[in-house]
Amino acid sequence: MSNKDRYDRQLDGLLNEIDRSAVEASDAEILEDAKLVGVDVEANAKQMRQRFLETARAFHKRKFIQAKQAYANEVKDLQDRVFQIPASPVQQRALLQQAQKTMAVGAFRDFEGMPDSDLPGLIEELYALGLLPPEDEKE
Amino acid sequence: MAKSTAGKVPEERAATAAEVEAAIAALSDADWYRLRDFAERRAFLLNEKARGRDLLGEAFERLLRGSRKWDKTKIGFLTFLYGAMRSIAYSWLKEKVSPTEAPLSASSLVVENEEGKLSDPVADFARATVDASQLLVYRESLEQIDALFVHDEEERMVIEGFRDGLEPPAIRDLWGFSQPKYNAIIIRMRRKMRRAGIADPREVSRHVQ
Repeated sequence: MSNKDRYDRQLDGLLNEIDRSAVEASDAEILEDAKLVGVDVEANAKQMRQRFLETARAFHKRKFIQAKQAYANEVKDLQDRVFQIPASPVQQRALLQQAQKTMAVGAFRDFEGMPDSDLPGLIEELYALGLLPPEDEKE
Repeated sequence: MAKSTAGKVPEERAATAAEVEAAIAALSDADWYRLRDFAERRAFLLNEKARGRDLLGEAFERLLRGSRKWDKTKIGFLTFLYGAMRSIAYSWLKEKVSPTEAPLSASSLVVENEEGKLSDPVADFARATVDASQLLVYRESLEQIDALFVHDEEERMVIEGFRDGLEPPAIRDLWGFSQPKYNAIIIRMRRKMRRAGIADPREVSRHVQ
């Protein structure tokens, strides 16, 4: 296709030049442009600035609300989860010791010396942190 | 002219939300007019494909979403927005034509060269990957623009250069225009197009007959 038929290139070439002249124009020249077509630049700027700032703020607010909602969902999910905690302290210690072999966290703990009442809470924490395998994944 | 902002922008060089807000607040009245003017001119080029769309708003939303990042260490905010608008306009232009759009007869684009040989638009379009109906829209837009400059010889000379597919330096050489002279003609054309509503496709039919 010859350049004669490439109306897209012809138009693009022309508009690029018009764009270039507008981009390189001084503020005074631009204000003169606006005056010639009867645009109130002050009102135009005020309206556009406000619209952009509102969009930016609404966007940030939306992101904040989404993050807040995600956090609330995570908390609720943890609260709703039912952890499989062995019934007796002996079984609970056995589970913790079994888990201790595969993780660095808590490796120093002496589960034997821990009060029985603390064991279920610790198991729940480890489940929540993903440091204990879910029931259905246990061997 | 605006430089391309393509390429991955490292996180540390990308403007933060607060920096974007500060840049918005710092734009002058003339800058806002520049943005509006640029967006509307690009919308004119897009014609139907810009209808119901906001090019400048889209560029800004992409910045907020992070799908386009502003490398604050390389370019100014205005230049970033020009580049983003140009790129978005190009992608809209490449979108498939709506199935509801009226079909176009390729014969309406057949042209005769100096030797009287007729062009083959179908083969040409296949090679050039330009949408046929879009090309017709461009031709109509150019005819509208041509009509604006019919009474000014210098403007007609510049238009003729673009119609011949020449680059600006070649147009200046062809007609012996100095750079300041050429710039002055372009400014005249810019203002004439603006006055005629060329920057806004919805206005064209009302102003340019």
